Order: sequence, then C-alpha cells, then structure tokens
Amino acid sequence: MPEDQIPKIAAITERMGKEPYLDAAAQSAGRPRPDPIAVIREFERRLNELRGPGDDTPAMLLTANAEEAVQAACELAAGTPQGDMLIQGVGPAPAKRDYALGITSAQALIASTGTIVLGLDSAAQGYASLLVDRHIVVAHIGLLIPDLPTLYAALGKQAGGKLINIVCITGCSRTADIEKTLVVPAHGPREVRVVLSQSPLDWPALRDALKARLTGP
Amino acid sequence: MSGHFRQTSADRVADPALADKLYAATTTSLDKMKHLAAENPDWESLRERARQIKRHTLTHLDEYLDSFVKTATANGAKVHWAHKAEDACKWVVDIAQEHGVKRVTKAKSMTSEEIELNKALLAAGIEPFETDLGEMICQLAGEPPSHVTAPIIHMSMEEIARLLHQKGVIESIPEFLKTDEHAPDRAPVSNETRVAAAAAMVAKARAWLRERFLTADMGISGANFLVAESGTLVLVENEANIRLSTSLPPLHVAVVGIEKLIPKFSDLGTFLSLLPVAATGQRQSGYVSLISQPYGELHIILLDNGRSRLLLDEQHWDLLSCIRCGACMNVCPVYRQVSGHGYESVYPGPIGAVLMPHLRDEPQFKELPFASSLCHACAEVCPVKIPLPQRLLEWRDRIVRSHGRPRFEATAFAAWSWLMRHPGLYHGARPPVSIMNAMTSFFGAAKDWSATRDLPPIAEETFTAWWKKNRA
Repeated sequence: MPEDQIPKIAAITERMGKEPYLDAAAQSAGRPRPDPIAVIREFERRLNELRGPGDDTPAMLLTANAEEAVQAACELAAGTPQGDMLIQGVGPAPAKRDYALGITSAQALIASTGTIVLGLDSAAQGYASLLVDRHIVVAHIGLLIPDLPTLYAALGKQAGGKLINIVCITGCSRTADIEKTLVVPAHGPREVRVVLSQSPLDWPALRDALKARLTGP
Repeated sequence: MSGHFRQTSADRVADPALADKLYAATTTSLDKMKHLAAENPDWESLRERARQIKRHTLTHLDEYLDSFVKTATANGAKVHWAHKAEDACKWVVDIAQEHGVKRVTKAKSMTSEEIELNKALLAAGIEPFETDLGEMICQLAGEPPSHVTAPIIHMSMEEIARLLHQKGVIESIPEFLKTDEHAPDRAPVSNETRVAAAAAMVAKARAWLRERFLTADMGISGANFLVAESGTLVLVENEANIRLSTSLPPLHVAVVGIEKLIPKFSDLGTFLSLLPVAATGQRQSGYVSLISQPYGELHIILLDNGRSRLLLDEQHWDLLSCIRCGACMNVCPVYRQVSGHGYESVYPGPIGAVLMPHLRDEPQFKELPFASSLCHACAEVCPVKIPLPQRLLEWRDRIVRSHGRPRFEATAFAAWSWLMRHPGLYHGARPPVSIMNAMTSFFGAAKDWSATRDLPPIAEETFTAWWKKNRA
C-alpha cells in the first residue's frame, strides 16, 4: 500500500532543509499582450514548419465564418470514402481500425509551438486524431493562446475539479530514430491541417453540417 | 578498481565507425537545442525555476506523494508501491495474469528498462512488444538502448536494414543499402536515397506493429511527470505509439519513479518548455498526453528502487531532479566515444555515472564517476541545472576514501604537495629535462597515456623562468 510507505519518505524529508516553491506567475507577469494578428501568423508559421518532408500545401486556412470553414474542411476532405472518415462526436464509438481522415474541434491552439490542444472524454474520442492518415482541425481564432505556460496556467485553474484528459498535438507523427533522419508518419497521422474561423463556431452544429456534407443524409 | 569500464570503453573505441555515428547524431540534437535556447529570452529563468521546483518537490516528497495517491485514486486509478525492481515486475505480471493478458504493447520507458520488465513478462509467458521504433529495433536486436532518448543512436541504417530483414519485418534489404559483410560502412548513396530508405523501413515497421496495437490486451508505459494536485500522468513522445499503447488496450499499467512528481499542473508550462528542447531540439514534442481520468482500467505503480535511499544522501539527493532528456549525454566527450553500451548501465553519460552507483551496488558502477573529463559541458546544458561535475568529483572523493589509493600515488602526491610549498627547494630539485623525459614512460599514469598517444616532451625552460623573462 502506498499509504504505508509515505511515512517512511516523510521520515527522510523531515531531515532535509525545505526548499521553497517558485511560482510561475512571476515569470510571465507584466508581459505585453501580443498582437492577435501576430499570434495567428506565428501559429501559421509553426504549423507550416511542422509539415513532413515533401508536404508543401498550406497547413492553416483562415476563413471568415462557420460556413466558409465547413466549405474549406469539405474541400480538404474531398474524395475520402464515407466509411473511411471519422468526425469527432458523430455516431457511436468508432471501431479500432485505420481511417483515412479524421475531423475534430480543439480546446485551444498554441501559437509559439503550433500546438493543437484536444480534450478527450474517452479513448475512442481520440481516434479521429490518432488512427487516421490525415487530421483536420476546425476551430475559432479565439482559441489561440501565445505559449505553453499560458495553456498550463489556464488548465491549472481547473485542476481543483475533475480534469478531462488532454492531448497536445504538435505536428504530424514522426520519428528520427534512424540516423536522426526525419520520417513521417511514424504510428499516427501523416498530415495535420487547421481550418480557422474568424467568427465563433458551435461545434455540434458544425459537426452536423460536416456530417451532412460529407457522409450524406 | 577492477577495470571493467576500461575494457567496455576500449571495446567501443576500437570500433572507428561508432564515434562518427554518435558525433553526427548528438551534434544534430545539440545544434537545434542551442538555437532554440538562444532565441528564448526566458531560457535561463525557465531552467532556474525547473531546478527550484524539483528541489522543492523532493524536499516535500512525502506531501506530494500523499496528494498524488489521493487525487489519482479519486480519479479512479489504482495506485501501487514497488520498493524494488522485482516488486514492480511482480505487480505488472500479477495484474496481467489476473486479466488473462497474452500480448502487451509497450510505450518507450527507461524505468521499464531499469527494472528489466520484458524479462519478467516473458518468463510469465506474456509477450511484450516495444512500440517506439528505436526500442522495437533494440528488442529485435536483443540489445539495451544506448541513449535515453535515441535508443539506436549507435546503429547505422545499413545495420538496421539487415536486422529488420533477418527478423522478417522487411522482405528484402533495399539494393542500395546492401554492403559487404566485411565492410559494413555506409553505402555510397545520396542523402535523398537514404531518407527514402529510412521512410520505407519505418512504413514497414508501422504496419508490422499496427496489428499488435489493435489486438494488445494491455498497454504499459512510464511517465515523464506525475502531477500531484490532479493525479495526472504526463507522457511525452513524437511517434504516437504512447497514445496507441495507453488508449487502445482496455488495461493500462504505468510504472513511474517517485521522483517524477511535480506539484502543480501549471508547472508543466516550465517543464514542457524545457524537455523537448533539451531532448531533441524541438519546440515541442509531437504528442503530450495528460491522462487524469483512466480510459479503461489504470494501474499506477510508484517505483522506489533506491530512490528513497538517494533522497537520504545529503550531498546527492538533487540527482533525483533529472528529467531524462539525455542532453548531458549529447555533449559528453566520453559518451560520444563509447555510447551508452560502453557504460553498461541503463542510464549512461554524466547523469548515469553519478546515478548508477546510487541505484546499484555492483562494484562496476563505482568506476563510472571516473569516466569523465570533468569538462563541465554537462552542467552547462542540463535543463534542471544539476551540478554534475561537482557530483562526479564528490563520488571520486568518496570512492577513493573508502578504497584508499595506491601507496605510490599517495606518497608521490604527498611529496609533490610538500615540494610545492617550498618553492626554493622545488626549483632546485627539478631534475634535468632529459632525465624527466626519459622517466615518464616508466610511470603508471604516463605509461597509460603514451600507450595510445605521445606525451608532449617537457620543455627545457620552466614556466616560472619563461614568465620572468617575457612578462615580469
């Protein structure tokens, strides 16, 4: 039982000089708020840098509203067979197998690293970003935050309650194990694309619109 | 000293291709790291904060363990304690057998290497599959990884192709990677061809493992961090094999050292800004999984295995701050000649040299603190600012004190020390240069040196005389 072992560790730490905690808040306090346009451009630059070798189509598409975002996502998905596609939250839990394409929303986007933050209520919710060859994210620009410390400070504020599982995705699945040669994909998606909308999105409505357009009635 | 490291390192140095492979791979990571660290104005303050948070956590480890056990249990995970490596293996095997597990997919984990989990699983009739590409190749080769973040840093593409072919992962070796058995060096092909060959092998390995991912009964992982306030496992990777191992099977077992705790979720902003940069020179790793709620059944095995004993060490407890990025290996001039295999220890390089003698009692590990040039490069690069050269020196001091040193060495240094404090005598006692030059080849240390290279001849003029003439 771990509970029985903790007093033994306490007997050790009791003898140690206590080192103080250094709060992270002090580090980012007083920074100017970054310009929103610069944040979008930085996110785009990072996403493009993260593409695999030979992938040179734009990794980020900026659209005006939900309708345009659906249109852009459908163009990216064009030609994918209906049974080969996962849309996060559509239908029953998907089977464990490979799919050609997955479309998801996001919880947050991080500009300085080109990271997409997904919240996952279940393992199966992760399949659309994991068991697919191509992953498309549709999200509102309001989700963009400047950097990792901002993300974890925000998540930390929810940590008192029950945190849902989160995966932070930065680029495509890759390995450089063989002679440090970059190879894409390793075990996950080969390609990641982000469709940004300048007006707020309602994911359930957007998801239904995508489903109607891509998988028929 | 039994000379174990001397032999294992000499064997590695005798392979001239090894140092080239290590140099190329470590320089790639280091250059990227230096570039990213230089452009981040917060780099030094991030390091300082990471160091302080680790020191704080370790000096309050009981409180954070208590908090983690409570939060993780409330989240629905089952938390166990393993005092020794064997206990951890027993936990994993028991859990597997209880669920009738036959096949296991494994995320890359140095902790699992440390406790030799695969051996225990195989002995119990359970088949483990390493799923990180590098670890999978190590498993097929029957070799331990030679670097904490780059397991097959010691292998060339040609060697990997031969191995994958021999094990049936690829049907044939690409024509241009075929080399003569007697000259297994790099095949003379363009870089583009090599990139394509690597991609083809990775694609085959992906397909080979995919079926195993989809049918595994259990996934095993370590963790890079444990968040005390939320009971969260934090797993960092690039390939997505950890996501697959931890979310596809209905059962997930994580074996994690007790030193991986951090107090708060917000501390990840600091550690995840440092770890990928120091490990692989990336702004961020491909996937960071933050598992708070179990996807299926989740067991977390907290591993002590010598860590609490190290925490008791008033001088060395801060070695538990290590986040296993491998940067100290990348910069180490000794590691870059001998690879992880030269150290014959699960954690190699400067951190391994100071950590292993604490974790294991075998005398061979007491040689490792001497396997360093004390150049300080490791201390400069360490993202959590562990004073590695100081710890190396302290180990040497402890070992020499407990073993004593050869009488000749002790007498020679005592005489030297006495002479240095008597400058008049010191200068007068200097024998003619010709005699000193002739003598050097007879003495132990100089003989070892001159076995593989020339000792520079001693100058006619002393430095003191030169200084008086030129600078005074």
